[in-house]
Amino acid sequence: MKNRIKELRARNNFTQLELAQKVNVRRETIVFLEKGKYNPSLKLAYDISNLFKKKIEEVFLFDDD
Amino acid sequence: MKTKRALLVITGLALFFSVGVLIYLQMTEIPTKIMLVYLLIGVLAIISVLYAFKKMKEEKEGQPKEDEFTNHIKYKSGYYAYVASMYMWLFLFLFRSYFPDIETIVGGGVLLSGLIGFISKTMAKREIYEE
Repeated sequence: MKNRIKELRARNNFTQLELAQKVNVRRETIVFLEKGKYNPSLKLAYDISNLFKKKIEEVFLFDDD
Repeated sequence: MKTKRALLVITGLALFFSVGVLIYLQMTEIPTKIMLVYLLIGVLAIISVLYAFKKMKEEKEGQPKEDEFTNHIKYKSGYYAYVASMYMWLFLFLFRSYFPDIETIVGGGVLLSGLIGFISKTMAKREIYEE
């Protein structure tokens, strides 16, 4: 699953640490998410999308594979 | 929580210092197997001190101690460490004749369990990278 976290974070001028603090996770989690190496829980996906005022499917891009 | 971390740092340093003193006192003749145990204690102490410092820095930044990602890693590495430890104890039992006494086997086993835990955590993280 790909995502637009890095792009949206840059657009909102957030550092990884700031984003992590806003959604109450560790910075390491954001690093793994941005690299697309970790699939978040529905709650975290919702929190991140909500922070960027986007729908989940606009932030997290689901592949059919 | 901060006190717990500080305690961890102090314990690690004390452990490392004790090993140094022990080695110095017995410098005349240290058996290789004992030297390996000391080395293992030293490695674990260094790892624990570095880990404690990292945690303290993260705590200062206001990061939570754990989240869903760390829990994921913890469960996975816990399983790996459990399986690996079972094999380790089996091998220690099979090759018990190579050890001087039962204390060395038990002590070495406990220390190796710590090392296995650390390796399992690294492996679990790497596996998530490859998922």
